[in-house]
Amino acid sequence: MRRWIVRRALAMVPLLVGITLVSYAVIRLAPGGPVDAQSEMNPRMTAEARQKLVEIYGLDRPVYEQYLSWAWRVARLDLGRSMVDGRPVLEKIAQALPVTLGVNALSLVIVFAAGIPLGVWSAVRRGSAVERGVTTLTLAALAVPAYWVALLLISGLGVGLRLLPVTGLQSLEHELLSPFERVLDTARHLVLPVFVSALAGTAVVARFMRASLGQTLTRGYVRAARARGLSEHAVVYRHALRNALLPVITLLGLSLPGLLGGSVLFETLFALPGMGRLFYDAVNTRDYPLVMGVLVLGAIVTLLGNFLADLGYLWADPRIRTAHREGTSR
Amino acid sequence: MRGAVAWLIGVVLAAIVAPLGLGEVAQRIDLQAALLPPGPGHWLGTDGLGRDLLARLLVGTTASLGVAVLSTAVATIVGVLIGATAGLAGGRVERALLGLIDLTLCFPAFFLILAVVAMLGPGLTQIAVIIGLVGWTQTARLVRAEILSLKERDFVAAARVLGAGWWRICRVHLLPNASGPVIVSAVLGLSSALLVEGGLSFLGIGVQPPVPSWGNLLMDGRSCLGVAWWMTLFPGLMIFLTVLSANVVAERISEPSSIAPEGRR
Repeated sequence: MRRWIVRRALAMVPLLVGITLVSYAVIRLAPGGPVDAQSEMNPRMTAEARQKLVEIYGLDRPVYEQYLSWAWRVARLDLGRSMVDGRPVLEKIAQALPVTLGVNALSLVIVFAAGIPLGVWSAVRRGSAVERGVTTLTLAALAVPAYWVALLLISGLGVGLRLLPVTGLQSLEHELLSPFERVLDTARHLVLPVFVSALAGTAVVARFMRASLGQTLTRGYVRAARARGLSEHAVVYRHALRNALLPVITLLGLSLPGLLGGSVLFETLFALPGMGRLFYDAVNTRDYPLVMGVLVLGAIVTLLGNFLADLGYLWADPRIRTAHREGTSR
Repeated sequence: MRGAVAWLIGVVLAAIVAPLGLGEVAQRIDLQAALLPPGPGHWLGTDGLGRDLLARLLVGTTASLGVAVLSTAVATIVGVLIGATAGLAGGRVERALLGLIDLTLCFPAFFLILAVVAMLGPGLTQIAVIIGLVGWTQTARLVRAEILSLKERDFVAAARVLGAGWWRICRVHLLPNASGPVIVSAVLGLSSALLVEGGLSFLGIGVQPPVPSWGNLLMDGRSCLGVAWWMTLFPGLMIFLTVLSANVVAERISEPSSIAPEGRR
């Protein structure tokens, strides 16, 4: 099994290299470049100055050479500097990341804290009004365009009733507030973005949980537990639920990388300076180092998330452990 | 279920008929009638230039649904081809194709879309193709799994014995038997494509004005937030109801009871 884990971890390296190659190719194939983005709107930019910029950024060298020097720098953990404002890529990411991470982490907590009980509830009460209600709600939550919900909430709760702030993370008078009021202020700013981003995820988790538990409840060992005269509560929560949580663990692992990826849509709507906006602007200004930096970090986290999900499987399901030990799978 | 099918049929009809009859009405500017709330004359109100929202929504159906259908077709064709090749070929080819799927899944779909839009420009066809090219992985995985299990069955062995080539076996025996899950994933792909197109147009990099689509009508609504609620409410409602209907239909076909004769309809 240890050998399987090592092999699984090593397999991530070529995938990562592939990802950087494709990203580099895609962004370089897009017309225009960082120099165009900077010089187009600047009437005092002369042809010589422009040429100088191109040379400074090394854009006159062959693309594969640029890629190799980029890759060599990244291998030494240096993501380079932004071509737009010259600040280190890592610094720009470090500035945007907490915003995105905060919103996403809160919403992920809500997704699982609300989704799992909803799913369990509707699986246990099969055929009841509860199940129908949960099914209808999750169907609606999956179909509703989140950006539309955001707009409706902004216009209803924010603009109409003035209950909640709708832009940014802090009020204008944030600096003047007491520490407690500051926390409250930020929390109030987070309510709408977090709610909107949690909507679809909660529905997915609830449906997953329901399907998985519903299936588990038909298994032989559940019957055996019932036959032994255990209470329904013990059967569901001690015997079935643990097995039924497996796919949900995978889901959690798969959604971890999503923590970093900010949604351009929500961040635009709520004026949050997060990863989504950062990336969107970087692509639009062809800020190659920044685009690549965000993508590489994202890819690493995605790969690690998948890896952790597989490990979680190993931990939770003895059958898979046995299979790997005997070498029957892979 | 019946409501969902009826809504989808209505939307398809609107997509075909509306541009013929309402194309001109949807673009008619009447500044006297700007920002009228829903009422007689303009059932769903008017926008900032006095254009009738209902007409624009109906005409917008063509772009929104067109993009969704085309991108689903692209995703399904690519997905079936790659999935079937992987399932049939096995060995190194299969591993390479599975790697390709993992690779595609590692990218934020949005990045690819954004970069390709920058490359090709935001035309209707381009957007559809791009959304399709990011969304084929699910279908490919499904088809591969189906084919892996089907190809061990007796009827395939029998066909082999009778001298059928792989191409014929694939066409006659494997793909038709794998079509159920593919159809379900295509219907689900349709609804996710609708949502993506809405989001892109909403950011201004999807369907470009003056061609109306549900997404860019919603974007218009955003600029009149707090002034004209109908401009936000109705375009989103169109997306919502259509996606909901598609999901309901997909769910129903994927239930085994819909095939069994005793299943309730």
